[in-house]
Amino acid sequence: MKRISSNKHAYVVVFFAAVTLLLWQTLFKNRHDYENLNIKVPNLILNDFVSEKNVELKSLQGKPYILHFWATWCGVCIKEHNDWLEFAQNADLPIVGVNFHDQPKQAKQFLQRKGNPYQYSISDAEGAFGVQLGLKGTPETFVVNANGKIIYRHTGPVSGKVLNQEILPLL
Amino acid sequence: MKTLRIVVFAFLSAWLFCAHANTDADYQLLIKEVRCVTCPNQSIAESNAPIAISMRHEIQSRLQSNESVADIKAFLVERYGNEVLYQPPVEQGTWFLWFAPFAVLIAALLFWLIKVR
Repeated sequence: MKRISSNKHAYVVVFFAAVTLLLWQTLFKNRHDYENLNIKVPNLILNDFVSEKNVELKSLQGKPYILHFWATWCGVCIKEHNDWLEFAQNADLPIVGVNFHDQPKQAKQFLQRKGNPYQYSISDAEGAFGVQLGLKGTPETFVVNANGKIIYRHTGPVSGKVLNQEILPLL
Repeated sequence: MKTLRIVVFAFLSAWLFCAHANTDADYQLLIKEVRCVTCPNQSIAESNAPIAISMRHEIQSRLQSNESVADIKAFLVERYGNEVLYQPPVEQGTWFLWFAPFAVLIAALLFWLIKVR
């Protein structure tokens, strides 16, 4: 009786050990890590709706830059706008604002009213550029290295802490 | 000559219709297999989230460029991970997802057998 009971316990322990190992393999060994992905910013020519000039993304290569997806209909994006204004004043790198699924006229009015932290203000009205990068929603921030490869991504609002302690050290 | 033109026109029309019908069928199937990344409980077929709309457009555009369904899925998985598909591939990263239910069932059966003995 005692032997059957201890065998039963052994089976349970082995089972849970196996499940834990399987879980470890899947959760920690195969993370969706941007260091392991080969996502390069595509060489697109997009319209800057503030300067009303075209911007060729390839021309941004050579030094790191930030791509920040936002929209005027996105309440969180409006709320974090001041953080971006402050960051832009202190950071010595291009910040490219990508206005996602929005109306450029409305976006331009917003930037004129509230301040513009972006060196380039690109319109991605159809969202095609966002899908190319694996965008999940707004706000979302990508850090691109000098070779045009995405090295970091932050989904959701950024605070001054995230900008200065997580993003800036990457650049 | 007139007959020849009619035959060629009919053939081209039929070919275009079939190509479009196949693309449309692939599109309808694919958008139901891809998860909305903003509203994960919905497929991009059901979701009105802006990114879901963009993903539908992207899939449609790629199908019209004669890209295969497998390549389009690979494109999406490369950017969003396996979780973007309702049926992710069977590989190391998805072993738990695919085999855990069977493992639990086998364990439950073993436990029952031991108890019965």
